[in-house]
Amino acid sequence: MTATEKDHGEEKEQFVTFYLNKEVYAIEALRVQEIIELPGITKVPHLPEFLKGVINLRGTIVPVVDLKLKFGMRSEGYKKHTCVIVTEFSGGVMGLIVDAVADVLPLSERGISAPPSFGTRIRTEFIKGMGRFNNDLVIILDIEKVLTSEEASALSEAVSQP
Amino acid sequence: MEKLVRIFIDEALERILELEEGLLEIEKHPDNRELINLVFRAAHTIKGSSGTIGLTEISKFTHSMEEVLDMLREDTLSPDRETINTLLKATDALKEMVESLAEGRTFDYSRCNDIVGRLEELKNRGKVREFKILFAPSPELFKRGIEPSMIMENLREMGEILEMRASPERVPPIEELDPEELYLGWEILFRTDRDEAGIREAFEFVEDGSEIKVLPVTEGEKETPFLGEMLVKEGVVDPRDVDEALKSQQRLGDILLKQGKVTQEELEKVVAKQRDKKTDSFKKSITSTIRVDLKKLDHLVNIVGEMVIIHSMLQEAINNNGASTRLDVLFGQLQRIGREIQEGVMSLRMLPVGEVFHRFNRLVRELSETRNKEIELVVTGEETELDKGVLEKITDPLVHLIRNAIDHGIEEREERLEKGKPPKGRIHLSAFQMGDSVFIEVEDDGRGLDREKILKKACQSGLVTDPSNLTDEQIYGLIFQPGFSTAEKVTDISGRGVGMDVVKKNIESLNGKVFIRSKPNAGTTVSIKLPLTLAIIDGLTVSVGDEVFVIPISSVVESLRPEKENVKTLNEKGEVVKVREDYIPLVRLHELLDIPARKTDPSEAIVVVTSHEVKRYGLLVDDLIGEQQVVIKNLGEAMPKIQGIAGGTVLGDGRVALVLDISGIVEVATSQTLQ
Repeated sequence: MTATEKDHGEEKEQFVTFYLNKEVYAIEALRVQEIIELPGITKVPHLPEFLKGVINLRGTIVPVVDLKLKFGMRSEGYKKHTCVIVTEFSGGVMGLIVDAVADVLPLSERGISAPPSFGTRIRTEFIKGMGRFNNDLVIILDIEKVLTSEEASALSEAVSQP
Repeated sequence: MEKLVRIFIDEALERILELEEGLLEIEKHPDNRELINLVFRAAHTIKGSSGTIGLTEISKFTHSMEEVLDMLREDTLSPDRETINTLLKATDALKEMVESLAEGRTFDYSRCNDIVGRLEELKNRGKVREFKILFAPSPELFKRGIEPSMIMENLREMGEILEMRASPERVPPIEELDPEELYLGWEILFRTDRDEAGIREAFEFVEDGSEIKVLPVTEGEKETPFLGEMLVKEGVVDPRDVDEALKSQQRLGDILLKQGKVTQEELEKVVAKQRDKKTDSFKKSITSTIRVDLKKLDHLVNIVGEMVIIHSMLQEAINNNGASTRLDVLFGQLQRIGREIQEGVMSLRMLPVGEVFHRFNRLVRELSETRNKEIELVVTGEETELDKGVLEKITDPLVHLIRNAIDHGIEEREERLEKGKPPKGRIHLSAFQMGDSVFIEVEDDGRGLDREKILKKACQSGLVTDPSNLTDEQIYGLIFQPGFSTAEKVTDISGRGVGMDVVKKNIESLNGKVFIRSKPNAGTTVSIKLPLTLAIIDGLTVSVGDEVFVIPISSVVESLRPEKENVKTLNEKGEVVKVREDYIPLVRLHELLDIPARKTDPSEAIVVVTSHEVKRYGLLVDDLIGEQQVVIKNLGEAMPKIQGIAGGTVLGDGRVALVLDISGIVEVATSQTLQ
């Protein structure tokens, strides 16, 4: 699943979309190394809850993060469609556990708008923008910020406001 | 562009190493032309390649170095201590430039002004040459009121008159002599840093009617100009005549051919052979190695590791399904090839220890100078190979051990003479392989460890309560305890109380061991035992709850299932378990690692007795699984460092098992009991 495809005319970037509790999120496809079925996870002691442990990716050991726990959402067991998106960020390679991978979408710059200042389930600093595809809205994550932030980052403050 | 810079950095760092080693060798063998040429070429290469990719500052700097080195080559400068020191300093500066380039830092070149200045000084010093001055003054000189001694005065200000002879050839018979005329001439051997034109300035006022010749004096045959050149210079022959004569000169082969001493055929054969020899020596200068990006190599190592895992999975599958004999045989062959590939790939990561050992020449030279001790470093076993990763991590501990030997081990000259030892101290750095291990030893012939002093210090700091039953080895081992230092004098080099414990820790992190031997007044030997490769260790696999852990066999003493009454809880020390006659601390791995265990009653579970430093600890695990070789991998860059976990390994079933780091586990356990 590479992201080198280009649309005719306007240059479009590819995004991988996935589900977290029925909401659709996206990350740049360029960041995605591969997507695999959830393998057996080896727990590593003394880690924050969202860092689930390590997996064997064809001989290389890769740490995995449960994105739902990272965002302070409920995470109730892994199911058949649960999978791992292996991504690269400045700190190395990390596997992201998501409910399911949905699609690969091409989006032009015009199709992306600024993140809303409130009203999202996750902290706005983790959001790169809102993508519009057909009539659906997807939240594009700034995965670099997500993975480099220290705290378990609970719900956005905005949610609690009326 | 980026790629060119990378290539430059790699090459430059290699050349810089050559520079450094070469300079140190030149000091020992100042007459070795080959060495000087090698060093010169190294600087020349850096200059050239930095220039090509636009690194003008580096190119300019190496140019200065090259000029000084060229003077060494031309023998106009001698490789004395000061010269070598300056060149070494310049090499350091150069290294810093290249390293900051590699790390993307900007380098402040004005920092090098001092060293550039010193290179300039050397250049000027090297220019000091000897000249022969032939001075036949105009006979009118006295009449013009010029005193020849004034000229000599002028000369003295420019340099040194080594020799002066009057040449009386022009003095006429006494009856023709005019007392107001000057008939004498002088031949002067003069040493100066000025050039010919500069020397002529001294004769500025007497040039009219005088004959002045300034000839550089050359040293040795090598420097002798060709006969033709000299004849022209002396004005004996016209340069055109020389050219013509040279043209009529014949090659040796042609002469022999003409004289019928050799046939055309024979001649051509030999000439062809000569040509082959020339190209051969050229080819030899190109090394038969290639440079490979370490990442590519590590990738290969990973893939091969994966192959080995698949092999064992396949073996399991074949065993379960009952395969045909033929399949079994074929698979056996495949496995054998697989193992060979694995060994081959692992050997690619091996480097000779000489790469690191040679750097210590410099260290010993400089430290012995500042400590005012005479010390010789003897290196043996440079060709012994170690994994690149191990080699990199062993460098710092070795630096420390060598510093210690220089600082604490080897006595000062007078003390050595009093003891009847040779005044020059000796440090022997050696490496050798024995079985699956590589030993590296640092041996000095100094005063040896002071047994009593170590004991006293250990008792004072509470490390030891009962010194009576300690063996020598145990006592010497105390210097590896944190915070231990017997140095009376705190120096900038060592003796700050940190050190030996760090050395030990570093070596243990490589799954190695340190031993120490010492004899009063005969010296100390620190011996480091390292596994051949970092990556593969013998492990004991154990289970705790649903997880599998690997304990390095090197730290396992035994394992047992304790009787109920042999497990006790002491107020201060926490849980202990009786192993043979001793009670040792019991560490519940499941608690320490925060995972649910299947067995919490020690009398149903297993205690793995491990040794750490001189103490033993019992680790409580659910079950023993078995012994196997495992490939240790890191848990991914993105994973925070966890105390007690050395890394992970992929098991035969494809799952990851964590490899325990016993010293880390012990540290966590002791800090928990203290709380």
